[in-house]
Amino acid sequence: MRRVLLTEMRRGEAGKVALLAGAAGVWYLLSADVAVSDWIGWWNQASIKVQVFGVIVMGSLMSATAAWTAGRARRTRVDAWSDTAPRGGWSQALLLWAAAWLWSLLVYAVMAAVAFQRTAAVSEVTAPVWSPLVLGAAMTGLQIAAGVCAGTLLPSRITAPAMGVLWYLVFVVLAFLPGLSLARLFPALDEHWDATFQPHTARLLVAALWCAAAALAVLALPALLRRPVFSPGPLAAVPAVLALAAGGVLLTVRAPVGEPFWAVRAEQPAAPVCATEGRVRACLWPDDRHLLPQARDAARAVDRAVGALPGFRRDFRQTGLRPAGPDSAELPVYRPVLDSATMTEAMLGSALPPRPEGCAPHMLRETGGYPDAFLVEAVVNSRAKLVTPYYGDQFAAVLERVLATPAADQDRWLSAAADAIGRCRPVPAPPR
Amino acid sequence: MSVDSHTTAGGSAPTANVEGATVRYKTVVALDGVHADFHPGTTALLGPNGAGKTTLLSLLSTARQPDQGAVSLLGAPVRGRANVRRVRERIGVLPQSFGYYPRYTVREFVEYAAWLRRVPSTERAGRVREALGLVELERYADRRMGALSGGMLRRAGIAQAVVNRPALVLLDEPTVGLDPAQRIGFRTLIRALGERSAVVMSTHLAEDVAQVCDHIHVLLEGRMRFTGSAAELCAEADGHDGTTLDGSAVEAGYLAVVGRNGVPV
Repeated sequence: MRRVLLTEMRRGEAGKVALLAGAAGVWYLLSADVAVSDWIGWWNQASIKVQVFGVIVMGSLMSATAAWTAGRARRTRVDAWSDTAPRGGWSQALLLWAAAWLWSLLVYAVMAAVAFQRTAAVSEVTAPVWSPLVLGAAMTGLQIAAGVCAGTLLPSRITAPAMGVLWYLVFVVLAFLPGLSLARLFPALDEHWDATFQPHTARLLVAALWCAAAALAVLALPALLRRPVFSPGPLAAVPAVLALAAGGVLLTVRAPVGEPFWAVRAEQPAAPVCATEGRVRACLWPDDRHLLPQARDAARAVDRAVGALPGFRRDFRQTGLRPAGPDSAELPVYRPVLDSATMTEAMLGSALPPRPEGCAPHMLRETGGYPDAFLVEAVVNSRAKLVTPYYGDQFAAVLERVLATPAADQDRWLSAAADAIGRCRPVPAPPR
Repeated sequence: MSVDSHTTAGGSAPTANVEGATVRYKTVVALDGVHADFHPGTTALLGPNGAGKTTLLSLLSTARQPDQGAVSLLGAPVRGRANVRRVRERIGVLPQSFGYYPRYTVREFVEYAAWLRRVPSTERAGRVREALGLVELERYADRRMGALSGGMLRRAGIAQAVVNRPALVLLDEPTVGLDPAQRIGFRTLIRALGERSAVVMSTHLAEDVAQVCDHIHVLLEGRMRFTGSAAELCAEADGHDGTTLDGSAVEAGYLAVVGRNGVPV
């Protein structure tokens, strides 16, 4: 089969379309700005990015191409003699599918290499994540198989574009129905997995098995429906049974409420990586050790701004890390690459104690009716030399006045304000 | 020789045998209880359009099964997956409108046909060379199918039909659309094929029949109305002296069979 497969890969349309999709994919991955990207630097996210592009864009295109190629036998009337061959419809469909899928895998591998290379340039650990990629490859196989099936059964010129649009719509519609169990059978993992999460490898591999088995079973359908004289043998039942079993598992398994289906919480690291400056300590997931310099700068800035003030929190733990104590604050890191100012802003945002649950914010008439915590944050941010949001002239005037007061007065007011916020009381009047 | 029931055209075991085959397309009866044997050599299926020639070929090619009756090929009934597969490995088919993939080269295309016919991979390259040699297309082996002339395409079609060294070759109107020179060359080719396989050729070109065929079946309105040799068909015509065996004599014999059965032509 090797030579015939290579011929089909060389002469069929799948290669051209796969290369086109690959070019678009590589451009998409290369053009991402590292400073604002939500994936360059995180291995999980890099894998998901390739997978989701592979499935939604390349998979849809390749499915359309497969439908076109599969309709070729009828359009060119080759089926008048190929339907009398001892290699029946299933074998012929497998050949077309394999040719298109191999092209997809080739392009997919290039895209994965580009995404991982970009991530490796940022991250200080090397931990490529494979399971979402395996699922994406299998899902592309299922999409191509559906294209071959549709193209064989309905060899109209409209079938190919219809298949492409259909797949795209499936993913769009399923994206709006996140709770739908059926969506697990058509996985395009457009999720955000920061260091807190790890892929649920077992579920991803079961889903990959479902996709691969369903692809092989779907490929047998045209032969079963169209060529009753020479239907696929009992072997066709094997992928069908496997697909039913794997699909059944996917539909019946339940994830804990509020948790993603395809990921699990990562285990706590034995030793998170931490930066300590003065009285401030910031700890990160080991995979995010590349952010340590920014964490150090931020810790220094926070120490300058609120270092000695009672009431403020100075121990920061990246989201998902176990708190060191009741005074630990969560440090949210939404992107794999942050500058020092953004990290400082995130730390200062967490430095104020949280309001007790059910505590409504108190409005400060003097600032124009904004919550009193806004003024406290603005003062702290200004002391750390961060840009503060503009809340109007009245607010700005009060801020300027507070910052003009002696440092000792500011410190006293900030400590009292932090204490008040933590106790759900209105902050004291700003110093004059 | 008029036929009302099962007849054989030779003493040897038939390569293919059709027993009381009836095929219906909705309300139209395409074949009506047809009995026929097909022996080594070249057999012509003669009949007007709609007589059931292509339907009979589709039974012989295993593309479909009769609604009633039975077909056996190479000694095995065309029933059951294993049988059908074995039979298909030993037949070659060239349909009336031969379909091909224009981007494939001739070699690739015949290789694809060899794969479809389950020619073992170790023998495939040699069989492709052999098939291309038989139809004299070796020089064009690396030319794209889409760049071939009509005559060369038909030869490529024969090559794909014989690449598995079939025991039974089915040709549906193989010379239609060829110019006279190509047609003469094609007849030589079909005669050569008939020396190694049983060839069943559907045609309505009497000259082809006279030049090429050892046996003739005449199908009229889904029924087998004549089975015999070309000489026997010629003898059906009034006034035939029994010595001339050319296209016009075959045509006269054929028309006599048609007229005797009251079929409008």
